Amino acid sequence: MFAGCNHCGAKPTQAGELSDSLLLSRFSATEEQLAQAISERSPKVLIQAASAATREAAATALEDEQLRNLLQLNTEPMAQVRPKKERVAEVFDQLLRSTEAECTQYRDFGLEQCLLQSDSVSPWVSNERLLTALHGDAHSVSADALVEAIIDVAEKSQSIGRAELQRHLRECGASSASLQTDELNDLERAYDKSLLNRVVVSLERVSTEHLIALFTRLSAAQERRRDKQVLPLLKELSRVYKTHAMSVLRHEASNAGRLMSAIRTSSTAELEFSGVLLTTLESLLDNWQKVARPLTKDPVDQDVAGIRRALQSELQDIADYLLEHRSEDSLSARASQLALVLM
Amino acid sequence: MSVFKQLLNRRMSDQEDRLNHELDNLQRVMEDEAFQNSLLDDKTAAEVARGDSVDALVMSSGAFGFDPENPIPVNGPLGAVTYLSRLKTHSGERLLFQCVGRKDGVRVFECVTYSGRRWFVLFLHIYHPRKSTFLPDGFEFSGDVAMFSGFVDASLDFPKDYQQRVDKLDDRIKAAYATQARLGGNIGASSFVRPLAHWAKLDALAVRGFR
Repeated sequence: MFAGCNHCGAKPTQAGELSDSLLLSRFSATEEQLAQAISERSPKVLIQAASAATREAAATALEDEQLRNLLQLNTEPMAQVRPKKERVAEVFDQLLRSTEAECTQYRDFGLEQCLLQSDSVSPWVSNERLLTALHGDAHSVSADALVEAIIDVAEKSQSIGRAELQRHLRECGASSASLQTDELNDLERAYDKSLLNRVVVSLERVSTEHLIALFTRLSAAQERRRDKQVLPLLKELSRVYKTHAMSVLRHEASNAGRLMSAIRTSSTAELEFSGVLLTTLESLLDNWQKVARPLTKDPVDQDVAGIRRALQSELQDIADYLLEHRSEDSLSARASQLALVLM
Repeated sequence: MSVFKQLLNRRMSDQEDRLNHELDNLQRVMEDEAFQNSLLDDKTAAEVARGDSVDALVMSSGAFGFDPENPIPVNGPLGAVTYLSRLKTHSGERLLFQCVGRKDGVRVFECVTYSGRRWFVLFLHIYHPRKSTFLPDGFEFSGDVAMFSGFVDASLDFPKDYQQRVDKLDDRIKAAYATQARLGGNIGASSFVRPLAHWAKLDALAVRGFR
């Protein structure tokens, strides 16, 4: 059924063609008859046995929304699609504004003060005040406080179920009754995405050193929670870090390659210059290790391990070269030590 | 207290340990996602471990569960069986189901209510470490323990050959299946006739590349 024409490959798309296709496949139907019917669109080909009632049943069946969607026939006009998206956006906006209004009393709270609060508030209020404080204090608080705040937000967002969402919507005056299940799903996703975006924006204010410490701790926290489900927010944050970190690691590995190449091509007379290059290489690889640390317990570590092995091999080559061709024992030992550190 | 604990408290036979062990295994097959994932073959287990722990796919579109672009995330084939076995319609009817198509990680299940009155086609994505907590429109989760009531392969005689198919299953899984008697006595009667629209949907799956 719904096969294409044997001659031109055209598939049935018009109501009459689809109906014929359906009738043929269910009530007589060889593939050839079907293809011929579609090809010729001739009333003579149509099965004689199909009564008016059967034809009507086929026409009714073809009105099924899921079927039309599977056949990719749902050309829903934009005028009908837009209000659905707009309705979700409107309710989401209402939800955020209502939560912000509930949080005015916490506006001047610092992050650490928020973390010490043990009052019983809704997950929405708890997240809002933590995110506001996180944004304000991201540049100054410890990595531990950042980790605690992010895990708290991740756990709270995970705890928000459908019932809690509907309760909150009722409280803030949004009419959840008019939202379909898929719209409520969209609403939940929009909330999770907004949390992620806000955390990422706040983390842009965190120093690189703290950021690496933060993600190392988050990675360890996820490892400890292995028996439980990974919190989606943490997973998404790790993914953001990975994307950026892998780009830095690849870039710095290529810089390390350039430095090693310069060491190899520098002449014996340039011993001091080779030493400077090696010092630069040492500090570059020290930073490389720090950036890679949060990724070491992750599947992406395969990529990190690949780059690490390549660097290690190149360093060992340099160490051998310096020893054999230039008799520079101390430089060779430093290169060899670097290769060992990368293991 | 779960049904399993209640059963344990009521046991009276001298085979307590064996019963205890079997009930534990049964509970794990039906409720423990980590245990379910441990039963997967290596390839599927790797895909499941790589998958996102989410309630709905990111960037999905269309009606949740009803659109191939917005399948329900579950943990492997057993996760699909567990998820679908927990579903009931708003009128309280549970589902019989079987897998009728696949494309990448998406599996298509045809489902029918125990009474045979309503038929559905649902899409599930099996490469996730856990089951979604979201529901397709028109369904809710059953509150009580959900014995399995469907299969991850297809049969032309579905659902009339339910008991024969259960009998062929691995012993570890078989015990988790609802008995035919529990399904309301309709199986075998001629009440399971696919409506025309449902046939058309099954045919239309090929148009979307499901095999």
